Amino acid sequence: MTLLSVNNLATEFNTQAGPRRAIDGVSFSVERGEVLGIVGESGSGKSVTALSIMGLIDPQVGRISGGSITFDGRDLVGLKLAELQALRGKRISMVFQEPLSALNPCFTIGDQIGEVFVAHGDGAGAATRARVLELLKLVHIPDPEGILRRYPHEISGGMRQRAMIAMALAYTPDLLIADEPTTALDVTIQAQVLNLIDRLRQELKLAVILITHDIGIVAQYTDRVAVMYGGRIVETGPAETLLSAPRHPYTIGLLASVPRLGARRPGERLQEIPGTVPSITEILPGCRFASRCAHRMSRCDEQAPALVERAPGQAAACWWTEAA
Amino acid sequence: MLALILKKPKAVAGLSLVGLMLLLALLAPWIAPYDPLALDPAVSNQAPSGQFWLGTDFFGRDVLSRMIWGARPSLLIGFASVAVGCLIGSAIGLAAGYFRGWVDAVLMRPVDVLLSFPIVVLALALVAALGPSLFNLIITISLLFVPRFARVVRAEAMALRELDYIDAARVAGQRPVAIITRHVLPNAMAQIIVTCTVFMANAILVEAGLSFLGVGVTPPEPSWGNMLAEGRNNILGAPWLTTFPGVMLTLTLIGFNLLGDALRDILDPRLRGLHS
Amino acid sequence: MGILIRFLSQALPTLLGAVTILFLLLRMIPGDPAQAMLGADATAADLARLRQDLGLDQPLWVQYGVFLHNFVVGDWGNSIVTKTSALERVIEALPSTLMLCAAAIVVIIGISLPAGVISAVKRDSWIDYGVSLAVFLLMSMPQFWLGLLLLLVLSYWLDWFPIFGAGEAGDMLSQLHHLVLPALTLAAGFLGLVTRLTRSSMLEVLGRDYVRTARAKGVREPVVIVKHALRNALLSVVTVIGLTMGQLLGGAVIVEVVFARPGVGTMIWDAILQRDYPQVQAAVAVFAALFIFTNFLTDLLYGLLNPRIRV
Repeated sequence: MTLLSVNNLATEFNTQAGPRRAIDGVSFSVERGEVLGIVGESGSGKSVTALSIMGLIDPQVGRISGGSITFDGRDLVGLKLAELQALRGKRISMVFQEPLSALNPCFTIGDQIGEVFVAHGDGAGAATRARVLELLKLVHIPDPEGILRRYPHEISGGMRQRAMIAMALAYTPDLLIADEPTTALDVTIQAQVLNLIDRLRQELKLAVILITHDIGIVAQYTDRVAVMYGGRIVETGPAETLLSAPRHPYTIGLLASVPRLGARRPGERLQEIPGTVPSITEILPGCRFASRCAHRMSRCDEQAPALVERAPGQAAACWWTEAA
Repeated sequence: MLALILKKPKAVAGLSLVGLMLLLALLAPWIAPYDPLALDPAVSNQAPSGQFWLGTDFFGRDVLSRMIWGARPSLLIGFASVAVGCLIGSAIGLAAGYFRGWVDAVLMRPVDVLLSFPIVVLALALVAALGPSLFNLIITISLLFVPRFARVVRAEAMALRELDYIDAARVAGQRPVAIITRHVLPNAMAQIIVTCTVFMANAILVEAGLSFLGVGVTPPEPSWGNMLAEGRNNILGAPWLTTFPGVMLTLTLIGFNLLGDALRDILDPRLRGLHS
Repeated sequence: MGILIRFLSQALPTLLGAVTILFLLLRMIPGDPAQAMLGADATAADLARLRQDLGLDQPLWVQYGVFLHNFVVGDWGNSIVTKTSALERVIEALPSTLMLCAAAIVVIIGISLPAGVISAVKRDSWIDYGVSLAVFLLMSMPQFWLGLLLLLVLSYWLDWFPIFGAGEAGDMLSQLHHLVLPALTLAAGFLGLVTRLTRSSMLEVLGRDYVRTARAKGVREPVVIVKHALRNALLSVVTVIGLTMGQLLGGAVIVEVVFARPGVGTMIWDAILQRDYPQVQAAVAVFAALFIFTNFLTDLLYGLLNPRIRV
């Protein structure tokens, strides 16, 4: 059975101009033991998608306005807060982008990891402490006893993110959502953290949603990819085929903007996609990428394209692709 | 600016209250129904009636008339001491914040020392030494606000001196005094105006407090503070004496506080939404 | 060790400055201070003796040296009215005033923290607006007037509370009963500031990433709010409560006078009306020292609460 299946999800936020959809019609699924990469520029709706799954959209500023999120046979949309809380941290966990701000400066690492057990009714005794130590060893933190008593500002960025991952793995969740887990880290540490997530996925049979703006990471660490733009998925497919034969102009642009080892001839310049992501307050009847697209047609401004399968398992939402 | 103020209900309400009190103070001789100092033992401690709308005090003086006249010392002392405190305090704050270094150290040390007394206690000690008179009250209360203005303006000047165009003016060889008066001061004005409004409420409160304690405006001259002190002696027999001057005082403070809140919302977008 | 250095470098110079201001205050008295203290009908011998006692016949810098020396050794002179040690009188009156301030702090924390937290959590709701309005009115109401109104309604008309004094010595219940209205009145002036600050700090902290992390861990909302958000918001709130404590001492003067409650505040008031300057000086010096000391303690407490600057 599919572990997580998101169907036609829409999340809106209050803006000066009224409620506006930050994501619209997002659908994808994740199987156990699989890594789904969600890739896109900032503002494309990646993080909103993740927060919607976690039920962490602040009700004061926004809400899920349509669609369903089926996790292990249950729809998470409309679930009572208490039921969501029972799932969070236990069956679905999340690792955030910036570990320094995501950790509470007033509590030690040990307290903050142990709190997951406390929140789910396991108390803060010696058993919990032992489990926290176990977790720190699992994520390869040297001197776990020492780190336990440290405050977030006292340890390095890589250690902090490992501690965040340890926290997310407290109960060996079914689904781990990692939202740009390495953006704030040095390049060498990035690889260590991603390898760690990859290893844990294999050992613990986790389903992982790996959110990133770095298409290089997607190639190396994911099984399937969903490319997001302007709050919609514009292309999706198996990582290998999608990256070798992208169908959507946006995906093509993203790939062209990434330096590839060995593939780059001297003097060749990286291509950037001109323009910026449209703001969520702009109401566009057609394709949201049209204004930046090299293949724009009149139809693109009038009607939004739907995802259509172009190759086995690979679909793109583009009028140009369809016409080609 | 004015249009912005008039769009905010808070600001309009605040302005109206302050304006009303100003009118009462200015027009006191013409609108007060009786002489505020005229004694009449025949009508001692009368409850509010058609003849004396807000009653009379122990000496038979009309409470309404005394209340209207009482607006004068409150507003006069408030405006004068905030003006003096603002002038001196802003000058200290601008110099300390702009020059930093030893100028800052020399200027701010006394400021910190003055801030190490509770407001009321320092005011009491000063008035006790100087003796109560209108002039001494203004001196005392402005001295309370000098260090407070200095603190606020110094912070502002320190932030402003880091700005590029002020750097540019310095590099261009403009003299410090010119830079301060032409570039720093105008940009600190918004903060200074907000601070003045808030401190107006505080200054009026201090004056009333001192008068209440018997070391402010000296009887028989009426002020809201000393009226409350007199009313206190017969709080049960003549509760109107303790009620009405307090209402006036509170309305005035509400007026300045509303105005201060609204100005801060308008002038300081960083704080917008934080304080409602 | 670090504490000692901070004390010597910050609190001590300020205290020295405060003492200097007190020294100058007495010399600011227009005309002859001795005459001002003893009144017009004092004999020439009395005047001469007082001048000598105060050292007024010496050059100013000698006076200052003597003043500092006497201050350090605790010889603060005698009250002109009672002829007894001014410092001892202040110390006798102090517990009552400190109790009043402590009670006011309890009221402030007990009302402002919950009110600020609730209005932040339910921001833009009717509760939030209600709290804002109440806070605004309290901020604009002079303490002495609020105190008089409370006295009039709750003590005179309803007879729920005593009218003056601090209660029977040794009778805790009576003392607490006498403490209620003064503490409420003293607290009222500061409720607004602390409530507003709690609300704005909470609003800021509730938007932080670590609050989202706590929710993502499955932590229940009340725990998120109290443990994760309030704990961090307290950093700035504690600072303001600490600074408020100093201002409470000033407010205590007015509140003690309104409720005819014995304490350092009424002592300062009486001394001023009787031109008992050594007594005024001693009481003000104690208040300034307490003020500087609480500010210093606030600094330390802030350090203790904030692991990032813990020494």
